[in-house]
Amino acid sequence: MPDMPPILEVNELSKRFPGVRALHQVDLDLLAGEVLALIGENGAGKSTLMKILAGVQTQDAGVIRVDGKEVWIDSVSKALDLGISLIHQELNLSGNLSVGANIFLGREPLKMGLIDEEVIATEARKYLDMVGLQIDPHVLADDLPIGQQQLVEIAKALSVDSRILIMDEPTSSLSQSEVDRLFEVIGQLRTSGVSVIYISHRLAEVKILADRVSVLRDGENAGVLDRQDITHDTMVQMMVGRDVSQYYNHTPHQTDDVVMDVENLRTPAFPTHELSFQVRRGEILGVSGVVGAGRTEMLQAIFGGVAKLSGTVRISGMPMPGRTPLDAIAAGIALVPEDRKLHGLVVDMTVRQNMSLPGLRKNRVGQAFINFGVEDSVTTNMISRLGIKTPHVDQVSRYLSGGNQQKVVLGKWLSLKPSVLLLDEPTRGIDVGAKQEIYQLMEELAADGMAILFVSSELEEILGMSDRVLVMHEGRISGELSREELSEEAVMHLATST
Amino acid sequence: MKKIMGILLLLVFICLATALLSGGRFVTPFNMQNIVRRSAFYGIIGIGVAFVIITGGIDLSIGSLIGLVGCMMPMLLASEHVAEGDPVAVIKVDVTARALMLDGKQESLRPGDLLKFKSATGSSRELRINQVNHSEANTIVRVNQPVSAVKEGTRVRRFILSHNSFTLVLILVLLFSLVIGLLHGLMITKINLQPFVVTLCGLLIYRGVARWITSDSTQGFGSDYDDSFRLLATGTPFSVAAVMIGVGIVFAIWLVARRLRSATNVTRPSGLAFTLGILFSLSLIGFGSLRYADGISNQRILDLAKATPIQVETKKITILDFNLEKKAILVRGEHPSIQAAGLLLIRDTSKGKSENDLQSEQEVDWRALAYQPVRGASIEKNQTVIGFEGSMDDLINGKVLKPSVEFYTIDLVEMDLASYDQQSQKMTNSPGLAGLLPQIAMYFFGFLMIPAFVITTVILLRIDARRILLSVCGLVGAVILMGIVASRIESDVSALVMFLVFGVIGLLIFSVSRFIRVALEMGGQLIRLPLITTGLLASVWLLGNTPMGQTLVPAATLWLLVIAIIAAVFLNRTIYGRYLLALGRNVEAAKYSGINTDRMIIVAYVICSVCAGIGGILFALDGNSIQPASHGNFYELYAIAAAVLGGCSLRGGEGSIIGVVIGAAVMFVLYNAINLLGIPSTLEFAIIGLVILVGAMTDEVAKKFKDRKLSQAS
Repeated sequence: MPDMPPILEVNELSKRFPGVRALHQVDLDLLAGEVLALIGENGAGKSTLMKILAGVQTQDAGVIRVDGKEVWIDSVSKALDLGISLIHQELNLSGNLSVGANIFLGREPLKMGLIDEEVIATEARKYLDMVGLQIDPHVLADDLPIGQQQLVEIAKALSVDSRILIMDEPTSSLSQSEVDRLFEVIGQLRTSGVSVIYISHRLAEVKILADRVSVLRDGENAGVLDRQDITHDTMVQMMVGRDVSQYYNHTPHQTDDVVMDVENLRTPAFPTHELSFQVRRGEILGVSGVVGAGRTEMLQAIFGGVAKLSGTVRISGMPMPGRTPLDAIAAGIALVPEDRKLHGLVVDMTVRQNMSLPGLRKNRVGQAFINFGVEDSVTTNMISRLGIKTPHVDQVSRYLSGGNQQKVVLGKWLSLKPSVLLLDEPTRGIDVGAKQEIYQLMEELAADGMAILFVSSELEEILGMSDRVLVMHEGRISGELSREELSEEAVMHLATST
Repeated sequence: MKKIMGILLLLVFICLATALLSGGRFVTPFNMQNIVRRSAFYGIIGIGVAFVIITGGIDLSIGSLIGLVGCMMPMLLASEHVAEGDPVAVIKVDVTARALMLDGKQESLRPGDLLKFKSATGSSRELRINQVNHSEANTIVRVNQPVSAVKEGTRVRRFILSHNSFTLVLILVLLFSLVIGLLHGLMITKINLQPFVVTLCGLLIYRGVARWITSDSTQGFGSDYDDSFRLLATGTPFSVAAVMIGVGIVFAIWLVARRLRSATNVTRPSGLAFTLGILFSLSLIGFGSLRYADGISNQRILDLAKATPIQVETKKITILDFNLEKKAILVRGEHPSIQAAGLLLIRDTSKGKSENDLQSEQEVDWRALAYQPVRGASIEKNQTVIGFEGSMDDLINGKVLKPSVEFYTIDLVEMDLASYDQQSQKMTNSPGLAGLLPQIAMYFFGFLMIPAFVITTVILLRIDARRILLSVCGLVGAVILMGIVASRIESDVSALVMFLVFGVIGLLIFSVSRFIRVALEMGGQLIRLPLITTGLLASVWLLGNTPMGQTLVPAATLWLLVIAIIAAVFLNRTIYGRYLLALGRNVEAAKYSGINTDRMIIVAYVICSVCAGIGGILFALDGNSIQPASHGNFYELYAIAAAVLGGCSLRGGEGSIIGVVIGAAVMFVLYNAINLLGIPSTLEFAIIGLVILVGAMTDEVAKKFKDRKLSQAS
């Protein structure tokens, strides 16, 4: 194999985002007719790498070569010209258009200035045959099952003569038979000389499918495995194999009082699974799992952001009435949501206004008037307690850094003195210093007796901060690990087992 | 804040341009009143729709709701016909004119009443009265139906149209609007329909219902409520003086309260600002009171004239000519009864026949405009020349006098000459210190007002260099508005000069005060005295001898003020206002902060519809002629435009009440300008559209500029 020149070669690719080093000197090579699996934890840099290859973003440094020639991929159309197609995790078909129209979207064949439907139909048929789809090109994309839509996407990629297909979690929403079908198609593509970069969390699939596996960790190469070396354990080791950093300074505080008792909770995302667990006073309960395992959905359902289907949440023995955030807040639950800008903050309002928002009702004067005095003191207190860096209390939140925004979200809840704090990826997208401050704060709150439910995709912080860990997989709790049993391998095993 | 300054600037600019181009017609008290009144109506509906826009929604049904409310009110008021008194005999029947002459003077009969009688065949018939004329011994009525069945001598029974309580109707109509808003809100939140769709359907439905219940016939209140409830919309209960007193008192209370309450707060006004602020409010109160007293003494003469006439002649006298310099008019006929030192009442009977539609909407307030003390009268052959003591400007500006002669009559009032003499003695011939004191005091307070205001503003708001420019514009605007109110502008040239002088002086005062502020910081106490003196001198120019205190303020302003204050307090001071602003910007985050977003959105639609209801009531009372098919058409767009001009973002979450009020004023001043400047009214929409477009674009450009500056800074 070494004598065959790689069709795609990536050398020392680096990419920075404000406050985050997404990729650092990453190498990658892809041979013709090969399926290369790209794996790594959430945030390891897989998506960034793929976006750069597909022309969605550009690198800060490093070289990309296609067929040995250096290229600069600054747009999606450039990538397509080079034969690189990205098939997104979320499908990009226009559901209101026919399959044929989707395949030729943006480069419709014309006849006298009008779209030539006949050519579309016959050509589309050809590419659909290539992926083994026996469907009418006139069918609307929305009317196809999700697995077939995936194949249409592949057909679309083939129709522009793609030689490199990048597939991002293609099986995340497919049924088993659809997965089998997809693998079959990928096998055919491989024999016809098309190369596939296959990104997946499902290590079992990787084992079946991949010719080679490239592992990314913290934006760097963690190594490459050849076909014969691919095993579940080796992959997990390479994904998590790193020193647990020093900045977790966790002392267990948990007591035996159950503060929150969740019983048979069913979320709309996974209506067939029931979740039950308890969080104790002073305990930090970590929740781990891959993206899409249902962790966020669980927190949302507890808090009422998404109404739960059934189940009971008891706070200190009292069942929480209703299923809206209002009820949850009244019961003493607070949520620092995953999407800070969507659910956490009104980014166009000032720090002061955000901080006081949930407490306005409690502190009101008379029936309806805002207590500006309390608003002011709460805000200034929280700013100094959490060390929020803002020029003044009336700064519009949009102009704060991610870490400071996250602290405003924390501040707005802490002023209510909740008994249960739900944290959903609280350290996502913020710099190391702010992360450490948030860990420190969690530690203090737990010491004060708060019960904390801590969802994170970063294994390291889960291991560092949790007294106990729930691991979720595809909507259910696949295991529970005590602090003594905790290890990266144990968590990864539970999180990826099928 | 900057957004408001921008829109204020636009308002000032349009006012200035119109004033200069219209040749004095814009700045008459009459036109000003009209503008203030009408823009108050638009302001009220604008405030309503602002709440909906803040939630990120829209309400297109406002205009139709106004139409429906306007149609409902007269219908709800007119309830049933009640029999009154004994049957009366028909003396004469005119079949072609459909008129009946009734025995005796039937003073209780009004148009809309019924006459019932038994026809020869024994069946009961009824006639609806269209018009009533009285003579000495009998009454002539015109009816809607053929009268051939009525024989002379038939006795008819009178049925008087009784009216429901006006208050009850108001409550019903407001409740109706509230329910409409509630339905809008419920459909938008619970059924998840888009606001655009819901209210677009509302627009169609309410318009259709209004046309249906009225059978598309014009509705109105007749003259029944001219002197009572219609005054809610058309009245002019306050003089500027009274408003000044009110503002002064409120400002003083606010200052004291702020100083007392925020003992530890950083925003507590400094001693200097506090002193000057109190001085300012005192001068407002003082100047206002003196003006008010002045106005009352004039009013007393008028009241006296009304109360003690020896004889009132209602003669129709045609004005042949008038002479401004000599303060005289020439009328047809010989009128020996007009004597020196009497009062002449001039009344415009040409209601609705003016070539200017806009002004014809308003009945000329002749009581305020047209009393003139007569200097003397000389009788010539078939003509009488009448000289006046006072200025005739008001008559001309109010369009009571015109060179075209056909439409005017003069009501002659002869009054108790002795009492008038007494009054006029007091007014004019009382020299000496005692008589001059009020005058002196008035000027003193007047002079004090301007510098005190400027300095207070500077210190209270801590205006810095960057805000200076905007503030100057605001100040110039305020000064120009004062000039407009001053209304003693006789020609285009003097109007131009006056505005320029005002503008320049405003700028001067402002830069001087800025300089003084810096000096104050360095020089401290010593500078205060010269500071105030400088201000005093400058103010002499500004206030001059203006009849500002007697200009009347329409009642509509009061409603706007009440609603605007409630709305502003609700939006900025209550938790619910904060909730609205939060959910307008990010409904998800608001929900996740424990806000019942659905309920708040419903509240916003209820507020909007109730404001539209209030607007509907006022528009109906004001216009008194409600065409079911067109009354209120496009008003929702005016309201939305006012809100957008006033700083509401259609993306939601942004808005200020005062901005909306100014925006509404811009809309109506534009409308007025188009009429006054003789621009073809067919261009009306195009011009209003263009101005809004420019306003919105400027705003966006400014925002982009600001964003770029911010991103460069960070």
